[in-house]
Amino acid sequence: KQWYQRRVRVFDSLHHQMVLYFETAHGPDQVVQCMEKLGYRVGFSLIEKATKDEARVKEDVDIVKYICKDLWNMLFRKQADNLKTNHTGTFVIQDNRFRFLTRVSQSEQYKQRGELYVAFTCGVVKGALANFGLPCSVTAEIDMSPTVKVTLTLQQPPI
Amino acid sequence: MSRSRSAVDPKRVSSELFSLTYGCMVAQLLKDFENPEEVNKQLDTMGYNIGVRLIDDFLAHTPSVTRCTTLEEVAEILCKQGFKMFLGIVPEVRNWSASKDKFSLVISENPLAEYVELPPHCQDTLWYSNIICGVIRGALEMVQMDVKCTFVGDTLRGNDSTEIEIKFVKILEDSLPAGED
Repeated sequence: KQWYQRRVRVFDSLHHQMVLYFETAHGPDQVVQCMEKLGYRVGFSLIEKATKDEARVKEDVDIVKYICKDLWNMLFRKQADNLKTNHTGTFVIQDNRFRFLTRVSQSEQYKQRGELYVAFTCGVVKGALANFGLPCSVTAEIDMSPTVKVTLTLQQPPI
Repeated sequence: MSRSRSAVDPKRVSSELFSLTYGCMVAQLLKDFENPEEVNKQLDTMGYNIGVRLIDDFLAHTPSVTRCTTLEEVAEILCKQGFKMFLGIVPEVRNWSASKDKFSLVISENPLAEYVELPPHCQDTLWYSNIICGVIRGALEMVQMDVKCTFVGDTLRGNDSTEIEIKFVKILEDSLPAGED
């Protein structure tokens, strides 16, 4: 567990530097888009590698569960805390201690900046889903940092 | 039906996530800057920013490390503890200068560069892993050591080895904040 904490520290630092870079180089209003795009490529590749030797999961619900368990494990070495669905193509994944936020100040004024730290992960989820052949829109909500709710909306309603 | 799953080694996954993310970042920088030299600089800056904070984490988790008095000690701790802790590798220390103020780190397996191929236009100019140089520079600056840290070879470029040269410049005096005697 020790080794992981140290590697996490490096990854979180890289993630943070990426946010700062995009803010400076592309402007504060571009950060979310840039981080998401980058995350998308990472997510797509991660799933490509992770599932190449496996039988592909087929059902939408199984894919979303994979995101909550396996993908979350790859990113955060823990599973998402909660998954809800309205059974008509919307899923909400909840993480009560979203790691990238746990080192950002929790005070109200930083809520805007919080979005910058969730964008990469949303991109990863989006890219992962795309690789599974399940395109979704992915948005995140931070009502009460560090709890994050990621909403997946299937772009094709289930039959 | 049980899902057949290839053994998921968490270290492998963690390493893959890092190298994928880093790779996408470098690709983005190459798009943003026309000149790969600028990318080298940007990576160094990012690394520096990481290094100045990472050193605290390092020192907090290696209580046995005491203040170094020689560059040889620095080299030893950098490779056997620093690199090992954060990148999971132990570079080899080689090519000491006669005056012992310069040495090289040789990295045999670079976790950042897995599956990476350099685009042809920057084969001779980009130092793909230059973030590492920044990290070393930043971290050592926080322990009062000014060093120059540069890549001198990279297997990604077709060189024989991936090698970072570290040259001691000077000890940094604690500077007083403005306004104090």
